Amino acid sequence: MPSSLPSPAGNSLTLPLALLVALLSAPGAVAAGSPAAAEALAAPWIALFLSGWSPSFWGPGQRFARHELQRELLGLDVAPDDKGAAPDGLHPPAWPAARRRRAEAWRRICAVGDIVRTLMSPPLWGVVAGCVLGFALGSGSGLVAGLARFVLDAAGVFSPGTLPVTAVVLAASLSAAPPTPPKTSAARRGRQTIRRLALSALRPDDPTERRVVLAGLVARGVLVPLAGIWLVTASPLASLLPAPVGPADVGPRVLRLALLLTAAMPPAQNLLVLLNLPLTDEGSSGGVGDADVERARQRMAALAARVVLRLYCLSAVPLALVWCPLFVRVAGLGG
Amino acid sequence: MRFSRVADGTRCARRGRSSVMVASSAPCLAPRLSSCPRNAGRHRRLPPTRVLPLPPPSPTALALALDPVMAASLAGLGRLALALVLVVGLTRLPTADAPTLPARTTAAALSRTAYWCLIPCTLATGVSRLVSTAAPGGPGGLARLAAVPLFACAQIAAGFVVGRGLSIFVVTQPVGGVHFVLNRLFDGLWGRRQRRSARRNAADAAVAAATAAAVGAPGLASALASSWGEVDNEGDGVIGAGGWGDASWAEASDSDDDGVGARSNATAAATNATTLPALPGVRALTVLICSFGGLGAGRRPGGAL
Repeated sequence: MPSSLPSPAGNSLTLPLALLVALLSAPGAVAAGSPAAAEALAAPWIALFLSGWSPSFWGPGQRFARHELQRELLGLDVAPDDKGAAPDGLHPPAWPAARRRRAEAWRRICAVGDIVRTLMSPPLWGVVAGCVLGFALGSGSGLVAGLARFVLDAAGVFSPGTLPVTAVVLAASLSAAPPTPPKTSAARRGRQTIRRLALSALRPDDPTERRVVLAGLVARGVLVPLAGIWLVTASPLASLLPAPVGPADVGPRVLRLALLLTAAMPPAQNLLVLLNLPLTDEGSSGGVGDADVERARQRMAALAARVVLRLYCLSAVPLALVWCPLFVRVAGLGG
Repeated sequence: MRFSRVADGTRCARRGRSSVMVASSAPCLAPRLSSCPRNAGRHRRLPPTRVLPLPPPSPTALALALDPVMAASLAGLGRLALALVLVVGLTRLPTADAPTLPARTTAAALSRTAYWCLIPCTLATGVSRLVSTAAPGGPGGLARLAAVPLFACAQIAAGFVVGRGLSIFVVTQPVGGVHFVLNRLFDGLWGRRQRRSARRNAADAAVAAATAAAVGAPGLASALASSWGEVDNEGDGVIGAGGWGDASWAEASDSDDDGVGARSNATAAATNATTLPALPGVRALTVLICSFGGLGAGRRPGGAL
């Protein structure tokens, strides 16, 4: 499994929303209220974060993951969609200077086109549609709001299935892992089921896997949260965020807390979805047999499932004991 | 006469003292209604009110007393733990029922589709709430929310950089990771400047020495060469200059005294200088220390690298 895959993107919707609701409805919090009120307060900010996260993950992130997978599986160190374009200075020397310049300009235009094509992923269209529908609903005019509600209801048929199906993908990937041979008798196995259930989920199998888990834990559990604190408090981007007008204006504070929490989340479950999708969606895999590549990718997805599961369990400790209390104070929502 | 309501909905009359009358056959549930003078036989007499001791604090209450925020986050993570237990439990299904590869791919595709449907739903709900309520952060606050997606991109970029670095240190080369990164660093940042310096020094020295040799002035050639760090000890007009390592070493020789050979050699040296290989970590550190100490072989006297 490419070792740098678990680090870039954290869980962006389920876990931060659950934590935000729990933190905002906790007794003693500035924005204390019922869980339903806390969810109403927190959900818009998480949705706004999602509007940047999802296109990044399913656009450039997907491209990066495919590149890493191809490099890992096929040993290719090329860009995934590189159509054989010549790098700088590698055009045939016999070409006249003007032709070389034209070829270079065309190559750059194609590169820009690739970037635009990468960014124009379905999630970006979803973000645009969501903003339009949201404005239509918020403005409240009769026909437009009715149409928006109709479209949202149609999309809402599928959307509640996201979490269950993702859980099935995770469990299926774990099931694909080679089973550990039993070392004890059936009776003792029965007694040790619960213990094995708990421990086998946390114990990495080999040194490489252990190092991948360690790297992911340090990245998502220590360094990226620190970078998140810097981004929200001291970076130039921080001045772009809305500032609270008065003590009663908790919205901007909740926004800061949401941004901080998303920085400390364990890897995204969508990573497993990505790894379980065919590598050859957008073309050939580079001359190697597709069936072999797909089998290797599925094995990699199983390894990623084990790593992600362990990272979720291990991330709970710094998240609950260190980051959540600290983030609440940094966001100005402490008691 | 004042009336007060008791738990079963009937009314009681208070007659100027602490006892009250309950006109009902149901037992009086309010602890302060201790007697009923008019219908005493039909009603239960409740004991006088006393302060009950508080129950011992539960672990949850203790946690709340210690740090409510921490307890709340633990409560949120409890749901996650339950979900994880369910997921791990699913893996214990009989192997005959384990999903096959196409089934996993199909499930992944279905999950992706559902997620793509989730995005507009979530965003539409959030945006409509933000639009319908007062703009956060005062006037202009709504417009400033456009910066929020930038934070998501910045977070992903930070995670990418951190993940790449850690994968080199911890996973790819766990033992020689430091050397590997130093080599990459020197080769990528500092080495580029180094190669440029070596190329310039080599070309300058070679051309100057060759020119001096061409005009038949070995002493001048020696002086010019020495100003770039190399002395023409033999007095034959052949000097070397610049660079780190053998690949960037320039030798200027002008055997036929026309100055042409020196220039071609200098060009070759400059070409070689661009292919300077990555230095081993220890050697790179040595070179770095020597360079900052003014001992670098390619350093111009009084000038920058």
